[in-house]
Amino acid sequence: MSTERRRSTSTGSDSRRSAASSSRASTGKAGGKSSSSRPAARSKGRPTQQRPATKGATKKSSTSRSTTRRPASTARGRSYKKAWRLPVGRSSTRIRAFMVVMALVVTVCIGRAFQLQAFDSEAMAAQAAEKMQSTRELPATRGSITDRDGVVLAATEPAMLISVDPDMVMTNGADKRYPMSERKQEEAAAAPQAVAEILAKHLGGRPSTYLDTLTEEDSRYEIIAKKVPAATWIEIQKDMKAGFDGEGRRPWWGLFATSDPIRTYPQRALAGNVVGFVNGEGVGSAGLEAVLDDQLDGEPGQEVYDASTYGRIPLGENVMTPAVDGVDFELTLDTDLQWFAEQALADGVKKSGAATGMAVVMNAKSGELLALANSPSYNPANPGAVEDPGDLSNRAVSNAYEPGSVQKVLTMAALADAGLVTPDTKVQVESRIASGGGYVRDSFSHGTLQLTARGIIAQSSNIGTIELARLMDKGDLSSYLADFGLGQAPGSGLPAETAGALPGADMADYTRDQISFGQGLSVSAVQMAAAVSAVVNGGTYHQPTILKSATAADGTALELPTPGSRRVISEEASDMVVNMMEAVITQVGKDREIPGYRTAGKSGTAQRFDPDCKCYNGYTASFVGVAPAEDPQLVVYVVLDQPRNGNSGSSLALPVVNNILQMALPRYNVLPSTTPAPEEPLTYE
Amino acid sequence: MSAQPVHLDSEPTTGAPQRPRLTLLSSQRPMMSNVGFGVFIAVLVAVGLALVMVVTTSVAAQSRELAALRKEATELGYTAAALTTELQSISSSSSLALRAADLGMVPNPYPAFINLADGSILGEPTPVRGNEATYLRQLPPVPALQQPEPEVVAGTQDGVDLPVAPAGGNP
Repeated sequence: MSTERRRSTSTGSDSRRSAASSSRASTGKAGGKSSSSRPAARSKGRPTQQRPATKGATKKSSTSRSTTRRPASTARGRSYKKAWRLPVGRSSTRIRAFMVVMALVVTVCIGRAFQLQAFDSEAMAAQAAEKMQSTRELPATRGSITDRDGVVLAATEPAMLISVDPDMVMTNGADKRYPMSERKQEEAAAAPQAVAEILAKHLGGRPSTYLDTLTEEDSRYEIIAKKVPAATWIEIQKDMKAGFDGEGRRPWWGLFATSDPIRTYPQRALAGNVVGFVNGEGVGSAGLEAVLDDQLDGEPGQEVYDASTYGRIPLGENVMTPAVDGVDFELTLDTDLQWFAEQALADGVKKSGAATGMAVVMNAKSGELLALANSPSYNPANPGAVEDPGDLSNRAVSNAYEPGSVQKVLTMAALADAGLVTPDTKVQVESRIASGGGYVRDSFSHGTLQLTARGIIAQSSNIGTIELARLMDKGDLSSYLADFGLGQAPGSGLPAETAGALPGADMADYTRDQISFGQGLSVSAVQMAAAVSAVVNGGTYHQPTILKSATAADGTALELPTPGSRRVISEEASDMVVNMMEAVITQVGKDREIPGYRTAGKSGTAQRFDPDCKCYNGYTASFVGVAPAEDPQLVVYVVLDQPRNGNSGSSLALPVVNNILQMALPRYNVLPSTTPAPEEPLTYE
Repeated sequence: MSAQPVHLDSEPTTGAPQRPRLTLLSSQRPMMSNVGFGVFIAVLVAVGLALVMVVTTSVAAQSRELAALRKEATELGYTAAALTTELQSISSSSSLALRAADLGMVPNPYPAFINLADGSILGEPTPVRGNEATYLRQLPPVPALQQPEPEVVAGTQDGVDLPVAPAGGNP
């Protein structure tokens, strides 16, 4: 190194010396260390005296400068190649200034880089990532509602909202900044009509209907249709891609689609009042769709991925938060039995001329609702078609009414459990009985009757029931009825349950008289079905329930509230009441039995309280049926509101109950009865 | 790094110590000429670039294939969903009852069971006469099986009554 430096220094001084005689300006530029070191470096590896000597001698022979220089070289016996010099000046001040500037620039750059990396790195990285990242929403699929056998009552099908960019249709996607070619003009002229025909083909209607929307001036967004099944959208896309020539080389442009799922109800109006419906935004608005909305809805997911102008970047960042689909609910309903019940109820409503009707089929041993029919019903896919908004409700749980004589079953159960009554208890029934400053009569005129308690139920005597009820303390009677679930919402899982009304222990005497035969208190159909189930199943009240199970999207079973159970009356008392109820079927009236089975039941014919006039107006006809009588498993309760063709529960509601039982008993493998129904006294001498 | 002389006991101690003669070793001949080395590096770079190009192209092709398969899966999912809805609709209780009635089938309300253990019959098997459960044969017509109808918005602003094809246009 030191050798090189010395050589370069001497070479520099040589050149300076040789230049001094001719031009100071031209030689003064050759002062750089780097340029002057080159000859020295080259001289190391080769004999430098040959080439430069010849070249320098030839080139510079005519100048006095070379003449002056040659002797010096010759004197040393070797010649050096002339150094190649950059014309950048030799002022060390300039070099230093340049270096300072460069140092400043580098310092600034380093400082900025440090600032970006050390202080703002996260924000800058986030900003950069944001520019490159695209986000896509992953909608959750709403949970389904099925019956006890997995038959779908409500499900979600993928569908699309189809929109159009009229501007794009009218140019068929041409870039308007440039003049269109003749070929493109041809496409643009044909596009609106062609797209309209595709829409008409798949969505219905005439092409002219769509044409106005497709050619809307100064518009970039118009909605064509909502809730279009995704499969239909795929077909539309295929036709759009086929395009002008039908071969896909000149496609049509301008239609777009976004997710707009459809809630489907494959069973149509079946159990519509129970299932409910969703509104246009997909939010549950009635029935189980509303009350279970939060769980059915699920949690939407998100996909974040790197994308460029040309689409997704392969191997780029891709973070997916999958959507959590909604919970699937399985109901206790049996769709086939529900269908039988709805058909039978509709027939009963039609024949009786009733305004509305309700039918409940309950598993007497568990409280499960197997069918819950309302008439009129509605199709959840088209709830706007109902004439009366009240038809959208589930009257079987939301309407409170006075139950009439069916209530006598509960009164007798309480009396039997308290040891105050047996089926053979003898009661002298007068033609009327004083109560609350007035008189209560039976629904049929009679003189003094000598009836057993069984006879009182069979004949549905109000007077006899009052006489027996007066044997019990009012508080005890109210307590028994409360234990049967009256006066409180059943908590079945259905929305808008009514609690009904049940007088307390401090009720007036005439109120006690009234409630004993079904006036002065109110119940819902489900409440009464659950209470009668408790009476006939051996005395245990089971909370009615509509939800059988719930399954999360990952397949895990979710825990549902356990229905409560409690013993209300003894088994003996239960048997006594069933005995009384069987007499209603076998010993009064005719054609009350069904083939193959022993059944028990009780009719109800109640004056209907009209809240508008706050008076009694019309009737409520009802009947509760129990089968088989020897081991009650099913309870069917039918209520017909405001019938016009009669008012008797036995003549209007009983046939509906029997129709349902005839279909329900074999369906649940209930074996036909093998013992004859007992014939026991209704009267005494 | 200075070497220390080694003293051996057997070495004669008489006279000056003998140092090994230093000899000039010929420099190692390079295994490859400069041109060869340059060609080797060039080939290495070319092969590397080609590999990168192949991998990149392959990744892009697979990405396209993946996207196409995803799209196909989505479309098939849409078709499956439409068919499932149609199947659920066809197998609904009301549809089955209507088809059964069309075939002349009559519900039998007289229950009878065969006890498979001993072959005995429980109940009284009774043939139907045709007038049983008439309420089940006075069914209101079941709406035609169809896809859910799209809500067509276009053209309705002018009060135009838009007839929607019953089949939703879906083949």
